[in-house]
Amino acid sequence: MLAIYLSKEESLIRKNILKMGHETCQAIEKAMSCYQSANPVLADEVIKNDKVINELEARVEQDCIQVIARQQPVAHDLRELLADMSIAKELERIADYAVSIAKIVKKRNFTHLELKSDILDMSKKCIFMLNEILIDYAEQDAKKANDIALLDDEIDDIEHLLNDRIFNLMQAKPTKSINYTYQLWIIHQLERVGDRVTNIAESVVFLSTGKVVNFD
Amino acid sequence: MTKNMDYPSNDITGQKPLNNSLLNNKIMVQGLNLYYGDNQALKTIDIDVYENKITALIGPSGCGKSTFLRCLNRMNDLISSVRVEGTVIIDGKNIYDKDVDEVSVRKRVGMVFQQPNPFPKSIYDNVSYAPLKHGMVKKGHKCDDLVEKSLLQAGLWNEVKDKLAQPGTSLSGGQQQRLCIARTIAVQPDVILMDEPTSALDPISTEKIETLMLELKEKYTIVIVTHNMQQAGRVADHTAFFHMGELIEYADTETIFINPGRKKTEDYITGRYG
Repeated sequence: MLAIYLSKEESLIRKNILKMGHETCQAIEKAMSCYQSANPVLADEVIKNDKVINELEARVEQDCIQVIARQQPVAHDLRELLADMSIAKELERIADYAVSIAKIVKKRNFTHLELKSDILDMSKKCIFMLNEILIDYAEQDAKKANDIALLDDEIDDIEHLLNDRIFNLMQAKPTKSINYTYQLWIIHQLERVGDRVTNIAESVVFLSTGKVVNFD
Repeated sequence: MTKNMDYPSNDITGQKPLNNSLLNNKIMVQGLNLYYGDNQALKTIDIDVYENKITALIGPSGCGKSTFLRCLNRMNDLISSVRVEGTVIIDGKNIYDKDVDEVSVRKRVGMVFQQPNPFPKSIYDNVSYAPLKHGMVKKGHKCDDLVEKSLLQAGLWNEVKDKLAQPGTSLSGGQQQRLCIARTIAVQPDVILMDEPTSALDPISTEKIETLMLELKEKYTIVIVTHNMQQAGRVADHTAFFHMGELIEYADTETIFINPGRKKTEDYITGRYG
């Protein structure tokens, strides 16, 4: 194995993952902006750009497979490539959640609906987690990744709280129940973003320490 | 566990120390030093080799791994400038004790070398030579049975059963190496040492030898020196990394190749050093 070539390949793969991460963060931000402002152009951008993220994921996967097959990496090199494949998959799924939200907000108007600011706050927490875990990945910081994973409990609590409030609103205002249902779906998508960030945190811990952890 | 290595704790790194509670020590090496004249080639090696396991010795050229391997059956005694200190205990007895005959050690601890080296004799004679010499069998049915059994165990019988009288050197490189393994097995050793046994072979012959090793470990304890990291990863239960005459790290093979505890090990196996 030629370590110098391996390092170059790893660095290229890392760059593509960080690019994917940036695109995915933007997708969530845009989808939620659209939710806030009812701007369908942003939703279309999210839906259209998903192809780019999917292609990046395929590229990362192919590059990892190629390096594993040709260079038979071991130790940290092997862990990094395995983590890269896993992280790329998680980012691709997060981008799918953004698309799912974008499709909802494109066809429904949530302009005067209750709890909007709470849901936006929830999305900000998710975006914060996503941004931070990408930094932890770049810095291979297991400790910080562990801290970020802990924030998922807060996201879960927010989801339960918002769900309860929406169920009450549905009973009080049954005429708006369709929009409330869509809100529940958006909240669920955001909660899944938290789960996926937690999975990325597990990969960061594995790649930097070799320790297999389960933060669920 | 061996003395001269450190393992980070599980909590910090995920490093998994060798779980030796279920393993039987076959060979216990303690405080082993070896000198070629004034040059110290092995420095205070402490290591336990476990029964019915394959232990791989890896490390850069000149690190002492082959020298160490040869200590396990006193092959270094054949070099006049060599001086050995410390103990190599096999089944409770130090093979360097004065009352131990090195020929009997080599009968119990067989060896297979890098280049296949069949005797310039027939296939049959290659296998039967040592058992006859040691008086383990006499010519006749018992000797025939032993030759057949050894060649079967070495996975060579079906290929040579109809040409046992032909010279061993007429076989292919891979077949010759398996003949050498059959020759080693024929004296019914406890331990088989292999010094880069496949480095002169093509991938197909290598695969056959590796498969054979995995079968043989059911009956024998195997110690192999290899420069082929993938080979160590494929066949070895435990792997020891040597560097400049020192044992740097010894652990489960999985640990060495996924999460080595020492930076030197990591640098070597990832090709960044050595």
